[in-house]
Amino acid sequence: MPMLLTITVFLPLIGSLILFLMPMWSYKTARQFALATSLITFVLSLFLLIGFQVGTTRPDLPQFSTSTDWLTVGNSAIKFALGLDGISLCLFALSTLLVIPSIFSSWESVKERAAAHYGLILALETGLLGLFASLDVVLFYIFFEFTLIPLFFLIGLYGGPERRRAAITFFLYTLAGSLLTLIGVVSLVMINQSYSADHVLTFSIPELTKSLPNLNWGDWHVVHTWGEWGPRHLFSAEWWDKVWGFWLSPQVMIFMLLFAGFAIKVPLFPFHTWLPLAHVEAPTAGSILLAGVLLKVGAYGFLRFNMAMVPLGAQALLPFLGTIAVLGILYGALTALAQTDVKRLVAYSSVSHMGFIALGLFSMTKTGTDGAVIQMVNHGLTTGALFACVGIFYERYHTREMSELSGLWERLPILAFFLILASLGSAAVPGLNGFVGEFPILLGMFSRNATFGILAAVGMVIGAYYLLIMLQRVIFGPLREPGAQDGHGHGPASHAESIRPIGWHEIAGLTPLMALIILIGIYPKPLFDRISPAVGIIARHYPPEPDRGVAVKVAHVDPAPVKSLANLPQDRAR
Amino acid sequence: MISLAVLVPLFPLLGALVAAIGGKWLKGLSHWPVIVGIGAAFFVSLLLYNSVDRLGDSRVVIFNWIDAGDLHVPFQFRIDGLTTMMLTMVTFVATLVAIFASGYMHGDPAYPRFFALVGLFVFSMTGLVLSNNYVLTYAFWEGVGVCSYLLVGFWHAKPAAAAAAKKAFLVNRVGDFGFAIAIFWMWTIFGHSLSYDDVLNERTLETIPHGTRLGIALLLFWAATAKSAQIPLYVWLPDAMEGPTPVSALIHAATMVTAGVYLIARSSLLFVTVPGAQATIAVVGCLTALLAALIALTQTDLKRVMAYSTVSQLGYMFMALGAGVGSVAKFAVVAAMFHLFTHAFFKALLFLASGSVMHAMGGVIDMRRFRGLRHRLPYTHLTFLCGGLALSGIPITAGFFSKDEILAALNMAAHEAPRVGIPGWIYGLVYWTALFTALLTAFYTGRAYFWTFWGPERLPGPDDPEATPSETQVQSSTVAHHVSTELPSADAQAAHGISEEPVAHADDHGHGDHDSHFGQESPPIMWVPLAILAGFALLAGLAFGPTGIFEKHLVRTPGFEEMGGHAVAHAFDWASVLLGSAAGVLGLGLAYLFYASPSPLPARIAANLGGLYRASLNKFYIDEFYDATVVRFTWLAAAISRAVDEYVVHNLVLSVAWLPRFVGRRVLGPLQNGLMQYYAAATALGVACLLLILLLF
Repeated sequence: MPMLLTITVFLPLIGSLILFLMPMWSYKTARQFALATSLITFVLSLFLLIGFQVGTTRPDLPQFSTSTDWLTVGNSAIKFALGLDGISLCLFALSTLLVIPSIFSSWESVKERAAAHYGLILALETGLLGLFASLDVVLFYIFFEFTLIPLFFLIGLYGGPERRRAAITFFLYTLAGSLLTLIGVVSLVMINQSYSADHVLTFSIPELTKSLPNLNWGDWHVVHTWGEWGPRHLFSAEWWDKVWGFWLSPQVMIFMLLFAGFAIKVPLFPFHTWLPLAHVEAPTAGSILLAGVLLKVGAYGFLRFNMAMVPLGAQALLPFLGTIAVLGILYGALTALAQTDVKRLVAYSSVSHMGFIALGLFSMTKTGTDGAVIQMVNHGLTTGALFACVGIFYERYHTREMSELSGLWERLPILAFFLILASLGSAAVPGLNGFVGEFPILLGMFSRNATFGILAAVGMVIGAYYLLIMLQRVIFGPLREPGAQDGHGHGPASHAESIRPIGWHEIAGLTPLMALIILIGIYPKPLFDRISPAVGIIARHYPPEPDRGVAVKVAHVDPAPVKSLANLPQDRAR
Repeated sequence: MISLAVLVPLFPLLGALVAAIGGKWLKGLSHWPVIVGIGAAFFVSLLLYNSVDRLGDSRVVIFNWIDAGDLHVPFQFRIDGLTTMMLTMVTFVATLVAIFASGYMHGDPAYPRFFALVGLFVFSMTGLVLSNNYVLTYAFWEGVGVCSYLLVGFWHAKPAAAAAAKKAFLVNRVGDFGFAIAIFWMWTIFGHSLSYDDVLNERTLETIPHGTRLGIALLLFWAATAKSAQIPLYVWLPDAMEGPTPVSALIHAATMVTAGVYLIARSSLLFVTVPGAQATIAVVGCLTALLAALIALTQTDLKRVMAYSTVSQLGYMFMALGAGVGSVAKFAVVAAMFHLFTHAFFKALLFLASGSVMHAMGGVIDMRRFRGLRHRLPYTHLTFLCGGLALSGIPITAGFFSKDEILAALNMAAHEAPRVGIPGWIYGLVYWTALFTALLTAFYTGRAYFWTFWGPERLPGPDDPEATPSETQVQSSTVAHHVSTELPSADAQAAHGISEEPVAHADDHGHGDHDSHFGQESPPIMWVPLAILAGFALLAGLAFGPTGIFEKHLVRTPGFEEMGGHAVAHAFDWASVLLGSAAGVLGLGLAYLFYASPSPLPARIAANLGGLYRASLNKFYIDEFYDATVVRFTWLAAAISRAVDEYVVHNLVLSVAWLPRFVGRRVLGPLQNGLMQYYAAATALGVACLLLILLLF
């Protein structure tokens, strides 16, 4: 069993190496080989999914775990340790699934240097799988950075006209952030060694998760409250002391360091500008994996490191984090509304939706966090599907401008079905997957801070607005295709032969996503059953919900000891 | 017995799935699975209705839907008086509409899709009234909205339909926003439970502060104003008439739009504790009823007249709900639900009859283009008349009884209101406005009826001044082609053209000719459902109202019997009855004078009332107002965001990236100038600095 996980993680890499060594393969051979590799990987991940034990008494223990010493550091070692808990299991399976539509979306469109193209996709898959399965911070970080390389080449070699600029921006921007994250990670390890009872040096994520929030960080523990604010405070040295004290509190500082890399990766407003550029230039396969899985890496990092290891910092920064998430939701949605390029629109919708996921994590409630994790899966499915749909008509018309396309329902009815379903799922219509994620997220945030909850809910309205506008322009209305002699009437009839109907590979790529969009919307229980216990481990350190004079005490109160700001001595000197 | 409840939504859903998946093979027979499914659901609903009368209310959990942290949403159904009444009404009307539609939509290239969506809608609507917690209600609430979106946009190639569908969905989303916030709020204060049993519980409710209850009530009402088309969110409903007429009858008249009324009625235990919210509801309902009736007076599109009439009648239902203050509470809810019940029959009837007219007129629905159809369309004429009488509230028709109850409730509320701290004159004013609206209602109903069916006969032709230019070409070639029904523009039809040849189709309901039914009565498959509905429009009030059957059944809803403390004996309110009937007769009489035969009177009055007439004709410019404010504002915000993104945020990032290069090239680079003396000076300066530091510390 332990070997199974390792094999699943590295199988795509082997496939990718073979593809790199076989540049003479025709695109047909290459795509078939890549498809076979990804399908086998997917089947293996299904075994993991089925073999994962639900309802164990120790949800904090990763399953299928394997561990070997890798690099010796002093009397300890950086381990090669892989394993899955409920959270990573879902994202792991999502990654293996999304590789399939991304290969199918390149099926006809990539014919030159095809072997390398598929090789890069598979290499990226290994990076993502390894990242989600890592149980060691160093291993995690290596995979974290490794994912940049194949995507850099995917965008830079196979992208649109501005591909070089997009690839370099993407690479440098995310790298800059993740270096700060590295400092944060290293300091976590060091703090754990200095302040834990037995002073062990450990790089293990589960151990750090267990030890750090309970640790007495000594004087480092102090988190100053911000205090009230007013213009007169600007001239008060005492207030400035407080502000400095706040930002220099260790938990706040480490939170911000970790935050830097993950916030760019997610991306949160205002660190999102690389994303539209990268999406517009990336080939469809790159977009699917970038939006579908790579963005989740940031959110996953938030959950694994920020929320799990420095919860006091998160709690202290709640007003800041909530503001950023809400701004991102509204700003992303409004900017998406103003786009005319469908791919840019979907890219900005990702900014908005990732804001929702961040909001759920920052709500510091179990409800919101459960919702956020399932929403990571949901967003991967819907956005992956949306990008695949955009790819379908871009491949045929070579334009993504909404003003040039209209009434595609007529020409490509199956595309209309896919696009409408994915859009409705993305707009969080109940019965489809988006709802079971967004609703708990908003609920969690509302119970923590009603203002943020209400403002974020406005994002749901605008979210429906831009998606419906996109549908109205592209799918509805009289048929209009670029290249046709006149806008309507007999023009398209002559044009029809040149437009390829939806192929089997496009249907095969999208159908599983559509099935899951409906299935998760109706019966999300299997996912929640796996996610909830793992989230519970992290949520133990969250502060209790604000008391609102609860009328009926029917809810179960988590008995775990809770450390919160309120319990801490406020005026403890440094 | 109780677990049968699952079957009510399940049957239509199965029908929809069969029609959707098997549509390719079923083609023109696709209506069968859906009609059978909905019919079976109606049958099961009757069983449930009966079981509630015998066994009382009950609950059934089907599975656990969402378990995220502390949010637990079971997929739970509840069977009580209110639910079964709605279920029976919905499935009954839906069955008839589906049968009608099998004739009306006959030959449409997307016939299977139509019936699949209708089945899906009935699934969502029955789920909505069955669900036992707010989240599940919200889910189906949006579910019916999605079905409405897809059905309004059914003729997807028609730009007006696409725009109307989007508008309907978005306006409803604005309402759903309020619903969601209400749910969040309830979740935090009702101990993380959202089931009706926990929230709508007198003991729990009295522990909640008044302000909180008021806030939740108003948010729920906000949601209801969108779904049930009240001020300020009614604007989507008239546009939704772009959908096929059976959809307008089923979704936008009889069932979905009453969901808001249902929601408030369901939550009435909460609402009666906040008289302020009740007064708001009554006033908003009253204003909506009046405004919509005024707009309906001048519309020339028969379906739009009916749409505004629906808005107006929904306003009546809200007036009745709002009358539920103090001891009137129970009576008011019964009155509102009774009007909902009777309205479903006569309004569905009027819409279907309008559809029948449209069918015969080759897709033309502009009343200026046809007249005097009573000889050509005898069944349509008679059934429309029945519906019109009921809508006008002429004695012994269904509308008469339900409208009378609403007026009586308002009258009682005017006396009761001061006891709970609401000025009685508010309800007095609402009462008189309601009476005046009844007069307007009868007048515009009479106008539509006499204009369409009386006077010298006239059929639409391509030379009508109102005809759209593109239509002129279609009319000559495919005037009576089934496919062309309601597809007035050549673009739309060409864009539609899946296949030009008529769908091969064994006709099983006796109207075989594809070539021409222009100007002819609809086939039996269409007028028989009309006749059944006409029977209900005439007699349902008499059968269920004075006999007390309706009320006795409805109060088998937990909490309804005791609502409002002591029960008041319902004295027959003779004054309201006489005034209400008089308004109806007077309105119809005036309409007869004006429109039964061509008369110069209407034009002269319109000319004299210039400004008011134009305002009514242009729907009081409400749409323009929203476009200029809310929509414009949103787009402005979007444009600003985009500009900020492209110019501010992007450039900030670029300048951060530019900083290292600047430091390297402009600051540090020039220092390496290769001059020996410069380096020596720098060294000396460095040594000096070091010495200084050593000396100082």
